[in-house]
Amino acid sequence: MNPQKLVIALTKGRILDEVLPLLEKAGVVPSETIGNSRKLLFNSNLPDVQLMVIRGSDVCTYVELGSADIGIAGKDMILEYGSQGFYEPVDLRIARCRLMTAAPTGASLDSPRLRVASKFVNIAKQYFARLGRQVDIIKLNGALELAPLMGLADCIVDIVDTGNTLRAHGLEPRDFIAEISTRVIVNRAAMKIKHERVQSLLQRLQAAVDAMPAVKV
Amino acid sequence: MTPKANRWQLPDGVDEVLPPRALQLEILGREILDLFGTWGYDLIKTPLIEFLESLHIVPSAELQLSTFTLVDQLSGRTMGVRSDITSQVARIDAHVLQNTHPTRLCYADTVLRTRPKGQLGSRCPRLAGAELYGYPDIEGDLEIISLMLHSLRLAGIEQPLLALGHSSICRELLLAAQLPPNDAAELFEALQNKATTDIDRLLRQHSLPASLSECLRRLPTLHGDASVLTIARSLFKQSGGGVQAAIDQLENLAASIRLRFPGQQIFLDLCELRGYDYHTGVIFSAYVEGHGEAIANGGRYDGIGAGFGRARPATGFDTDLLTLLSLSKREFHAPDLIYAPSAEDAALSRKIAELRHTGYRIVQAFPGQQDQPAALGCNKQLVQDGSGWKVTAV
Repeated sequence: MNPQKLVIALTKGRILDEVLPLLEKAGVVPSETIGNSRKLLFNSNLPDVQLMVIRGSDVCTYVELGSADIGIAGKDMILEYGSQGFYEPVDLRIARCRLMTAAPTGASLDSPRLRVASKFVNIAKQYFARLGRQVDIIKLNGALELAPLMGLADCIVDIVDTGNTLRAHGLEPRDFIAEISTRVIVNRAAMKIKHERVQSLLQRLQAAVDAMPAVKV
Repeated sequence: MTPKANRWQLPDGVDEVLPPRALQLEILGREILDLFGTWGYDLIKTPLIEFLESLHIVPSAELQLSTFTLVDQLSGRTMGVRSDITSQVARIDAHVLQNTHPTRLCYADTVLRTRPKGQLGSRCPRLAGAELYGYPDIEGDLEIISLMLHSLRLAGIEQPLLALGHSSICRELLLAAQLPPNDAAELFEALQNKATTDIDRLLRQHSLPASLSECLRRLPTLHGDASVLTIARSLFKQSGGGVQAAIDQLENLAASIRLRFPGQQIFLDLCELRGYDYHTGVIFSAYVEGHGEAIANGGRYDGIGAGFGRARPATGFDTDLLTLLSLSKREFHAPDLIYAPSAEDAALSRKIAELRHTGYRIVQAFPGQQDQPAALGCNKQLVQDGSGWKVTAV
């Protein structure tokens, strides 16, 4: 934790295009365009606020360990990481989707020991444990739709937006696991030590979210 | 089998302390124990291993999962390596000492944990702690908090922030909601994470009275300076007496701390209970800039000795000495190391013995050893002049 600066870790990629306008409404503007820059650390219009741009799965790590005070990450990343090390006080209500199971259209999932492929092994493990089902989890890093088609897994656990990608590969969404959206997370010590600055930023972000037009998911 | 090349490796979360830090750690531990001693706290040395059921008397799932276990070849019973010292102190107070007056005990020992607390946490922290048994009111907690703050001061931790909370507020509100156990656990997690969206979703799933729902929704926002107590008092006015009593206790405690420690930063969080599984009253922790986790924790855990036959009020705190040392701004005096040449000289031997007797550290070279004094870490040396052996700078 940097005592002087307030460090905000942002998730790079598509989500950033929606986060930056919200941050701007909350009064934080990067001092240069983040877009295609190779830089990872940016100053902002506020002398005590620094922005870093990293992978979503790393945002949680930086915030839990206190190298970043505040992070912006998808709820999927937070659930997979395990959310005991930080607070998640603001829902930015962007990049909304669902975490679901999916399987080949019409296929039976009655086998006593399912094989489940997912990027989110912890979420998958916890979900099936809650159902009381013993499953084998296979960790994959992408193109999950292929796993059932190639006989690697019976079903997958993945993010579902419209479901079109699934259908294009002969899969269908099955059971709902969790609503996903982008959350603001805060290191537990930073919330105390830098309370005023953190609270003020959170309130401004919440106001920016409240001012957004309601989107139907 | 481990490749030969990796035999030097230590397990994750297991560390060793080298010179000069090892000595600094020892000094710090000693001084903190001496501080506890000046407040009448008696030192205890608890066993490294005990039967598992004694260690697991503390109702904390986290603590139980943290315990390394082994089977006792003599009795066939399962033993655990202590992962915390509080359950042992509880046993000693309840079963061994059986005092009727308040008992003050302290310790500084290494514990072993199957899993670190937090990603970079140590699995063998060196805990120093003080525990007070047999006094139920906040003056007891105030004494323990004072010891915690004095320990941090001694360790050279500058301007720590003191966070105060109370286990009854969140627990009583959740009890009043009468949710099925799984839902209550999920709501508790969401409250601890201050995850507003999840809290709203869970509250919507249950038809709770509107006022209770509002209390639970706002509970995680009640953190900051003492003004949160005023807000809490009016927000929770219809809640059980336990909640109001908790607010009173926190108010009195904060006022007393301000008197004893003028200028001490105090932070209140009426929702926070993470890591306080078995606590029954006020809880407290210390934070410092530049460190992402609490550096000392404590609280009240009345009745912890019930499993040993005697439920007494109890309060205490502990801290990891190595964490304190790593954050310390204190200058530790590096003691002199004096080089003595290798010589069969009665006068030199006498001088060395005399210096060692008064506490000086002397390294005498072996016959034929060619190392320079500085290379051996010596800052002074013994040299002979006309009047005998003298200590001079290297």
